[in-house]
Amino acid sequence: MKSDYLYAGKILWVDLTYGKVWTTPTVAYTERFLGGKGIGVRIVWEKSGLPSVDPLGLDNVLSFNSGPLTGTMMPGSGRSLISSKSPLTGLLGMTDFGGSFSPELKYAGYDHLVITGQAAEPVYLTIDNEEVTIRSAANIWGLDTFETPKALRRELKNEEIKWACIGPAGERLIRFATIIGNTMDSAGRTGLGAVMGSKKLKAVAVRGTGGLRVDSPDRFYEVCARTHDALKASDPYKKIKDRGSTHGVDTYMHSGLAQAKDIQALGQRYEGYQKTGCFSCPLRYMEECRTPGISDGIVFYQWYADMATKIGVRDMMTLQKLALCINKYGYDAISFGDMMAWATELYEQTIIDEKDVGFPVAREDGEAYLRLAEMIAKREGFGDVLAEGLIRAARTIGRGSERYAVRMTQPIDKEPEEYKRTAQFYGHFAEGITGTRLAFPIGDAGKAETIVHAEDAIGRAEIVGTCKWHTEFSALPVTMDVHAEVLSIGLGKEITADELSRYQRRVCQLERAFNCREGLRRQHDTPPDQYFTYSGPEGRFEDTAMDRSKFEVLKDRYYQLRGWDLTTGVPTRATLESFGLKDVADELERQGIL
Amino acid sequence: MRYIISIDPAACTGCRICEMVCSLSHTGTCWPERSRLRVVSEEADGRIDSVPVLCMRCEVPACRLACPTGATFEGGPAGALLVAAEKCIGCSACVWACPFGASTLDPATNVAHRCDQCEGDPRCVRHCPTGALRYVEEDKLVIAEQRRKAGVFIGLQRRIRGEEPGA
Repeated sequence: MKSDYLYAGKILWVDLTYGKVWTTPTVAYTERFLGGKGIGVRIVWEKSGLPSVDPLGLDNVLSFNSGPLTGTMMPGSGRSLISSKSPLTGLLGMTDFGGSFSPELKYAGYDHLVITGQAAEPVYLTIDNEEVTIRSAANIWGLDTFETPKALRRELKNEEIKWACIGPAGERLIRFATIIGNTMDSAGRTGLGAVMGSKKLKAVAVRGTGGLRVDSPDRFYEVCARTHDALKASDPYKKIKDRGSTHGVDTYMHSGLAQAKDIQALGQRYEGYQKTGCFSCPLRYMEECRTPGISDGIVFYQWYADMATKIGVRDMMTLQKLALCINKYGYDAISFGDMMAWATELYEQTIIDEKDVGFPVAREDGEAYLRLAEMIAKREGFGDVLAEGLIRAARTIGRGSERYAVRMTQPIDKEPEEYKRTAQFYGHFAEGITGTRLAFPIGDAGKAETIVHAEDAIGRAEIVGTCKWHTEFSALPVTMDVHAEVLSIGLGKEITADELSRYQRRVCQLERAFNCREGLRRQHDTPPDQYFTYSGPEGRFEDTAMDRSKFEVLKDRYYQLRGWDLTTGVPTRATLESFGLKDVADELERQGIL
Repeated sequence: MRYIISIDPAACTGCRICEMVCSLSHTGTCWPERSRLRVVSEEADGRIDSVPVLCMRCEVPACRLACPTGATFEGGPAGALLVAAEKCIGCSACVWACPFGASTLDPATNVAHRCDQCEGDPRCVRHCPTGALRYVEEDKLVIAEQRRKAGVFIGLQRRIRGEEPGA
């Protein structure tokens, strides 16, 4: 897609090893990959795709991506999608935060910011329209994610900057470290904060004073206005408006992911919170809370819903302390919940004891979890083991601890009893463990189709540059047709819904090809054995084991829908070529995969 | 009847939809710096406070008084403080004179501009999702504000009398 409109027009490249900065035209990528995640994945495929590239090494790239609709009046156009190779999974790593970082980057003139190489000493990057500077981070390295933006504004004497930064967890290469953006939203999954830390890049501060051109402004205004109105008239919107992000807990409830007692815990709503949200978003999905002893901050339902269900802590204050502590250090609350559930079970099974941890660990013991949260961030004692992520931690501990790592691949899941419903989705596609792919079909019939549908809705939003939560995936009315219409008007080039869908499916094939090049095959698209046999400690969750043959049938169906080889799980040459990805097929053949 | 766009900082979430709506409908671009109202946010310790800054429709408009060429005038159906582009010399006198920071120069044209109330139907108000921006008759607003503030004293009296506050 070539157009003078909506795109900022340039990709900004920064090589931290040599301190070099340059730009290339975005249009070199837009024809096949449109924008956003599409181009972000392509850049990572080209620059750091080979299995020999260490995610925390010199050759990995970190790309901040926006789409053609980012920074426009279109609702949800404030999202930043970040792509790289994940230090947690070794596969494609993708994660995103809201706020206004990407819009500002576009106003400064750049659709994408790609960081390559590694600095010798801690640095941060400032982008003031055309002026791009790599500065010493000597004064801010070590600061938490609350202090860092303050220090940036002080040092740059500029209140208007938008920023992204890592906390001490990213600096210490904790494999599930996050990147935090302004509004304090975190790009939480797949550990890309550690990639930023490995590059010794503490923060990026952006100021852009330009704007984006639109082909038919009046019609563009009308279609955006209509979309805003449709959003505000929708049922989920009303729930979010009244209850903030905790409305998401309903979804947990309906899908069996949370239990009544958790909902009650979350019902102890905190007085004195205020809703806030991202650029150009009427939804206000975040809640600001005052938590004595920790100070203020944003919380997002998933952080506490997740921890409440996994570690049994029901006290709202403790949950908020945990969430904010984790956010200040800058690592993933969802991974933390997984680690804690696992560690607790090891403790119950006497695989680890007080000598390993330094103190007793028990479900519902908020104080112990708070101490562990600090220890992970500081890589102290047992925290150092956990900081490597579940798979590596299990390897270090040994003693049969792997058997209890039901959440071996760190999917987002809750209690063992829900595995049966969700694990067939979560467990299977290893690259799906990014938090950007969820689906909650309860039965088996139509499950593969539902997964494809959900993936395509989310993927499409991430390519055009709007929020994944605004799509039909969250029952909000920003459908394929709406995206196609608004793009066509804004770009001044007709894009049909079918063409837009094709862009998304092409990117989906490229993502899969990336992971296959890293060694992912059909056998890896399977949860650990425990999913098929596990019945919980002392048989607490009998009747939860998954049926292996049903799971394999589901996988066949999904592969058929995606056009992947049923034996290997690799996209076939015919599939890749049908999406105009002959070069990708050739590369896989060179690597002996096709 | 005088209409103003009232602002409620407590309701503002800093989403900046108003900036997008304003710049798109006035300039045909998505360009915050060209918007006639700006959202100013302060972040500290994970907390964000935002307030929309726009023309307050002063009774004695400093922008008009400061303008050396008479480019700023009251006009349009809303009686807004408009700018005659051909008279504006881009001197920024109105920008500095405005006590609210609501007059700016359009960075693309260097002509002064401020909120023109969209000829009596402000689009920012239409799209503000929280009611932080409202288009109201000034008199009614004043009365409502008096009632709200008087409520503090009424509450005090009730408490003195030993009744439940707010009863």
